[in-house]
Amino acid sequence: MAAPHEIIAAPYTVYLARTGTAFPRVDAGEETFVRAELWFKLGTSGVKNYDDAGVTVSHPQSMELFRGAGATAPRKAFRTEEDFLIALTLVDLSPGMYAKILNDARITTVAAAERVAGEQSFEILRGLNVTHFALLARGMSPIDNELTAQYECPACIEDGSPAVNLTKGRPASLEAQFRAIDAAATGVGTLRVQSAVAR
Amino acid sequence: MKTIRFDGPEGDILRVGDRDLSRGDTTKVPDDVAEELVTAPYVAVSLVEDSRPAEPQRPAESTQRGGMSSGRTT
Repeated sequence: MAAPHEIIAAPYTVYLARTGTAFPRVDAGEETFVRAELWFKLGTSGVKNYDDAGVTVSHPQSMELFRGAGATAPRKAFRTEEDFLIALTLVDLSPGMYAKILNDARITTVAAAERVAGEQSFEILRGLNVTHFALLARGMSPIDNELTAQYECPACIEDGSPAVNLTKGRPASLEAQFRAIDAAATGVGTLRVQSAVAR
Repeated sequence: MKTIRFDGPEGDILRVGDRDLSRGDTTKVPDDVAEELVTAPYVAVSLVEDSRPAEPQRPAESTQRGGMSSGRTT
């Protein structure tokens, strides 16, 4: 893709893993880290199963401002809250994706046999405990569009309230919102942008 | 019959007949069932080679035993 490289317009692919899972190198091919015991790709076909709105990374915050009695403008600011959020809408109702969004529910797969239909099932009730994920969102580098950039979040929770609308003419989807948790008090994540290939 | 291994996530279950397989478990299934499961995109199953080790060939005239202690005199 041509310069200016810093202007990008492409969704990032989102992957989930157990907390503590090592993040892949920024130049690692997807085939090296997407496996059952490592990173789980959201969307059976990745970004092709995301709503056209793409993936939204947001950094909301709250501030308290001090204004002196003799002035109207703020003189100092104090940050009181901040979040790191990654949201997307999955146009993919396969049980694996649905269960992942619903607190990473365990799936039971029944193989078809004589007089036994094949099926997959999972418990819908999420319960008291909230599953923590490690999250990786990967896409185009805004330094060199041929390279990769990735958001790395060591711990997050899915705290959206997905509503599956089953209707005609519009694909059913699952809204997912992941909120970073500073579980180990080491921060909420890193943005890693590849600038050059390895020598 | 072919041997399959369930490679799905920890905690998930694959029910084949009356067997519940957890991650890493193997079982023998008819060929058509194995093929269906291995190619299904919704479940992680792989074929396991039935690699029963061949009977070791024993040298016809080699009957020496004893290892390190053989031949030692004190």
